[in-house]
Amino acid sequence: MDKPLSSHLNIEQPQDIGAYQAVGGYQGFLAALEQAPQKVQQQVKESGLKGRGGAGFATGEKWRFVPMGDDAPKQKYLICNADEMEPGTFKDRWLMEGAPHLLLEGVMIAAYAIGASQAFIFLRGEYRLCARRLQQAIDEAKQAGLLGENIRGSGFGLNILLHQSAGRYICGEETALLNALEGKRANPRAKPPFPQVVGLFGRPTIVNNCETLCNLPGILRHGVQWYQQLSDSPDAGTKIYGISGRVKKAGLWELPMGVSAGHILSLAGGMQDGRKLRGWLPGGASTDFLLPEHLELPMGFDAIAKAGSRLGTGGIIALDDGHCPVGMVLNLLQFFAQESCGWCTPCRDGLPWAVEILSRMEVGKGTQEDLDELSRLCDFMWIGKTFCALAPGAVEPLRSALKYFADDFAEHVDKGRCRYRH
Amino acid sequence: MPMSEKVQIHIDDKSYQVEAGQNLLQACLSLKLDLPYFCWHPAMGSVGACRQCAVTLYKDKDDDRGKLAMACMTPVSDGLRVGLGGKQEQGFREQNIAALMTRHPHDCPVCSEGGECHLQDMTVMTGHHARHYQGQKVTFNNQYLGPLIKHEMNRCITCYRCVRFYHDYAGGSDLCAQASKNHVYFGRQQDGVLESPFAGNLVEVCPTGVFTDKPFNAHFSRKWDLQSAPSVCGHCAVGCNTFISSRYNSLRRVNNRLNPQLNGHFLCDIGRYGFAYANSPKRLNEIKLNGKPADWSSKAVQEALAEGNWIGIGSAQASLEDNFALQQLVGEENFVPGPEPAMWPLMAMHLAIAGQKPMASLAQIEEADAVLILCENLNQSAPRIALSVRQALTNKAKDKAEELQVPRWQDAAVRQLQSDNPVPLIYFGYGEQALQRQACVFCVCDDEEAARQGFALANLLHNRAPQKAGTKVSAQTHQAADILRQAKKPLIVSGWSAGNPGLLAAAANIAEALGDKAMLCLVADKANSVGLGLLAQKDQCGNPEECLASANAGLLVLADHSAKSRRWMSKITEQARQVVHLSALQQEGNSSLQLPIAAEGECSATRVNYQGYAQPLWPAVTPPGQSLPAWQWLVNLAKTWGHTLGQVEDLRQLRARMISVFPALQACWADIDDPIALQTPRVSGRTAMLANQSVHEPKPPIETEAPYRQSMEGQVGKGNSQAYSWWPGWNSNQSQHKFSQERGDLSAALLITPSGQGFWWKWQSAWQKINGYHWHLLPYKGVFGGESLSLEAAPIAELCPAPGLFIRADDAALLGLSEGDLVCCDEDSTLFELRFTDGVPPHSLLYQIPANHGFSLRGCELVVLADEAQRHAYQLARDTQRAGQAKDQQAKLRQLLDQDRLIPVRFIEGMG
Ligand SMILES: Cc1cc2nc3c(=O)[nH]c(=O)nc-3n(C[C@H](O)[C@H](O)[C@H](O)COP(=O)(O)O)c2cc1C
Ligand code: SF4
Ligand code: SF4
Ligand code: SF4
Ligand code: FES
Repeated sequence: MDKPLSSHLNIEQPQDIGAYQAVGGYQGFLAALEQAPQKVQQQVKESGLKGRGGAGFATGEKWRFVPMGDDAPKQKYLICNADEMEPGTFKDRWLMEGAPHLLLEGVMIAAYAIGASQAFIFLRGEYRLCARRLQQAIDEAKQAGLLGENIRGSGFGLNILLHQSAGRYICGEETALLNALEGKRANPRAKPPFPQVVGLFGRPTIVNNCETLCNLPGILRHGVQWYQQLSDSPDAGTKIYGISGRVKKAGLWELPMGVSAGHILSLAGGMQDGRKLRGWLPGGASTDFLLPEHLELPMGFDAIAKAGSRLGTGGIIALDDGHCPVGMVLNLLQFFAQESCGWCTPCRDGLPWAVEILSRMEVGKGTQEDLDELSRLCDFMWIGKTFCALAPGAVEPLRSALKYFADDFAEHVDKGRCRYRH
Repeated sequence: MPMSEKVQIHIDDKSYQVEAGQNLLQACLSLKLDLPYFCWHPAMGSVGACRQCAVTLYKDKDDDRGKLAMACMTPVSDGLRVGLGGKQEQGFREQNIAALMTRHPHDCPVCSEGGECHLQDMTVMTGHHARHYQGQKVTFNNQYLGPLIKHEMNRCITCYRCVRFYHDYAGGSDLCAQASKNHVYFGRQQDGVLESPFAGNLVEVCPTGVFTDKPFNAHFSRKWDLQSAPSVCGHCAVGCNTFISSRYNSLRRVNNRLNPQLNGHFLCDIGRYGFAYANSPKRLNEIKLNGKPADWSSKAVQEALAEGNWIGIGSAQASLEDNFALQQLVGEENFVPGPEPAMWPLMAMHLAIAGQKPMASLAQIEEADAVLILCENLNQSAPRIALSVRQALTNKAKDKAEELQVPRWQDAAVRQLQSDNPVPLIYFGYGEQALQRQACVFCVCDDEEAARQGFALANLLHNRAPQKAGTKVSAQTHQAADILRQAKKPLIVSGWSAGNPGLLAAAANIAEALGDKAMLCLVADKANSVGLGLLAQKDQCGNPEECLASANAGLLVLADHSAKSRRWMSKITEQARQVVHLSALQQEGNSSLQLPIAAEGECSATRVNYQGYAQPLWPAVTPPGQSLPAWQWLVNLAKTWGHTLGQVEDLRQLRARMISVFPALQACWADIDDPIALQTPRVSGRTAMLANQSVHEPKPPIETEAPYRQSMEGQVGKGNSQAYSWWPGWNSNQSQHKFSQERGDLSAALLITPSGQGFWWKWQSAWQKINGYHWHLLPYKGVFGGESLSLEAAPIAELCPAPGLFIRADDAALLGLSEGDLVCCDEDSTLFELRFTDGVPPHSLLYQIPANHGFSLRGCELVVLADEAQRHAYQLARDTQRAGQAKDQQAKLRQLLDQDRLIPVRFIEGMG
């Protein structure tokens, strides 16, 4: 099976530029330089690549809104979103630590395709090893004449700046990221205007997820058809899937888009002995719970959405029968309440409210009214009511837990205690 | 923006025509529909943060689910279907309040916002009245923010309005949003005085009791107990519209009164807090003859005022009525337009130019797409105009936003676009205040050079514009010409602050050269400088110094409190037979007779702003002690002289005489026939208020023929003559937004009709400085302390900086001086703190002194370092002054608070 993302990935000692080039590295970029930027865009569009940052928006579609041509603003930006703070998600880290040049090549291709002469990698603050390896890779690429002015005589120039985030979950939201990068408060921006038109410092900007960008070198090097045959599901290409929780061997695997969650669980060796799977979050903390009965669904954007959740980042979190669902939801909501940027009321004040109720509920001090209030809060923080997607994301595990684990909640209220606490 | 186009929208199945281009929240409010909101502000646009203005949008008639959306972020469009009162949106809005309230302390009884709190109003409006949240509340520490603003962070609902105003709108850098989640903190890095001269607006911008008016808090009243009046700020020539409010006959506060043409929603801090000079310990409450209390009817007073040869000295700080009465009494030939001869030519020039070209209003200024400022210290001379110029700088970004299909009220997008779509600001002059720092072309020069370059610029723009021979045209002037040529709505600003009429002429020539597209704004010196000038224009007294010498004349003086006027006055009073001051503050020095007059908010009056607009003011209190409106003293005096002015029985008759001279004033006072109520209906407890002293119902004081009632009877205010802002369900100043569309038509009358005829001014040698000094000393006033009346207001006095001398760092290095050194000019006794700035022309120093501090040098040879003894004395004097200020302030406050306990009977007619 082709593993274009991870076949040369080495977490102990990533390839340096020479080794990377020796196995065909940067050929995708050089192939791109031979073509008009619009043609590169066209290929990416045809490849069917969808964003790996969580929303699954078609990458080519996203790029289409960047003004191109002579009338377009001279300065445009490409940003790699490597903030990766979604709980249960560590795929970007793996890619950056193990294959930094792959990401750089992706950044270069994207920058060329939209005509950006400056790119940024917005890196999660705690990812210090990534930072070292990326910076080294950038330096090597500069040395090799793959960055800087007039690359390989193409007339195209590019600089990549590595920015280590000060560390907020909201900085991963693309417009908050732009504000953070500008040195402003990391509050999201209203759309429209979209970043493609008015982005960083008011200029056209594309923000793509790290994994998304890592897909580009393969597409440019091997072509659209090759890319599409990587998966036989409606979503093209491969994906870094992962699983964590009480499984035997938590980890990450590059698999064709659309494999089943059950397959991923089996790669992890199944649940730890004596543990049974009760539910799972398909792609990070901000997705709805699914049940064991959903395990055979393909992990693709549409299939998971149809089941009432989201593929998200593809980092599964498994809930087992040794842990209290109420406690798990409380833990997640504490995270989200803590990470609310504080801009809009439902999220800023609704999440702590939900946390307050869940905290009481978990220790058996909740009431039926509290349960009603929780449902009302879920509705209150739903899509369209808040300013950005953080709060609706935070609500997803809560509302699905209220549905799937209603008995557990009821038991906390009725018995006045949590059975998992002694 | 012209918004005449209409679209049809459907709200709860009713159809309405609304103006296109606005957002749905604005549209609902202007339809007088109630839709709660917090973060939107009519002047600051929409950001969609608070989520309070939620409505349901329906795709079409058949859509029965709809989609929740924020009205403030939704542009109105033809056929839009909106649910405003449905369960879904109402439920959400209630829950939103409930969520906000999880952090709110519910401390309304001790909150000075209570009774005029937007949060209270909105809470009631959404129907939220019971708390479900059971957890602990987040609490914060408060900060000391200086003498103007009190901070009580626990009440914050995190609507971001304060920072959006302070930082984005007004350009302040020391207030920001800090931390995140439900711990966002709005304050400074650390305790300290808020730096922006617009900080006072936080009081009105904040919809809760986080930022409140500190002096008002110290002597507090609920809004519903205040008696308020429509007023006009008296501290600069803009004439911002205000509400002035009192209780128990003492003035308590000033806040903004919406005037879309002028101040809009904001005042500067001088205007908001300066009124307190009326409560100053220096207040003159009784007649004083040679420093001793005296009786009007006493022989000595009557003798001092005996008929004879009198010269009247008008004042730009006094009303049109006062100046008019004085002029009538002494005769036009004996009337002098103010005690500052340097101002007379400026006055004449200003009027001559205003007679040709209209002066741009603040609303027009905010439409400019290029701005040239010709050596006018706008940040001090007309802070509100500086704020409007700042807004103009967003215009290209707004246009760009529209080009991108983003509405111009989408504030965040506009700010994002601003750096790549700048509106050019060109500054010729000196200093380094907010506007200078924002200039893209800054030519550092003195007033004369600015005037010369101005002439040259006009000439570059139009070959018929006269040149001043021998001017070396600067590179910046060429740049300016290119920018102005390309602009569609260029704005030219100059004014009187540098004291050079050549600047006004240059500005007029540039505007003339640019033709009809140009806007012109000339900033006059004081609140009624233009009114005074209009009177004097009729027939100006030649040279008062000569008149005095020849005629053994007496002086009848309407007080002007700036140090500059004192200098000239002391010179001419030496020759006068008699000096009579009509003043609200005690006069030092050689005044033989002082008559106490009504101050801010104490009588009806009219002032004429820089454009020539006459604006009426209503009183909120009656004048204290023996004080009378100055015109009333003059009428009384006329009676004893048997002068025709003595036939005037009341204000209305005086005004009738004024109308015969200035027919346009008719329009200004048109509203006045319908008396307006100064008290809110809530004051119906009037009788109960006094019940501890008398059970009889007292009659409210009534001035005959007065255009108001000191009670809740009468008009509740309409159009421009609102006494307080209120709308059913809306007790806070946000109710003003309900009227924003009706306020276009102002009752103010334009007293100057521009002819529209072009004219080229020629260079005059009088504008040239003959100045052989090594160092030229250029005046450079600061906001606090730069204006003389407000300097007598305790909180402003506290903010007045010590005298400062600004020098270029390289010049200072040559002299071996460092920043902060105490220095003086040659032998002069004024000690300055030395400060460094780049905005100083060569061979020049900028001096900044309080407006009540005499300093007359125009140049010097040496900058001398103070010696140890001087430094010691200086420190001592400053400490004593500060201690004195604090003591005076406390004493005055105690007196006012004591007075409150007894006062009602004292001021109500027929009682006590
Ligand atoms: C609260 C929040 C946090 C997010 N964090 C990340 C993140 O850490 N990394 C990321 O790539 N996208 C994150 N996203 C999604 C981005 O906003 C954006 O959709 C993504 O970077 C687009 O890249 P893609 O089109 O390549 O998927 C986040 C979104 C939200 C609402
Ligand atoms: S939902 Fe609102 S408060 Fe929460 S992160 Fe987004 S913008 Fe900030
Ligand atoms: S302090 Fe006032 S204006 Fe500022 S965010 Fe809080 S409530 Fe809003
Ligand atoms: S700008 Fe002038 S008129 Fe307006 S409030 Fe300030 S001092 Fe008063
Ligand atoms: S007023 Fe509309 S979201 Fe705040």
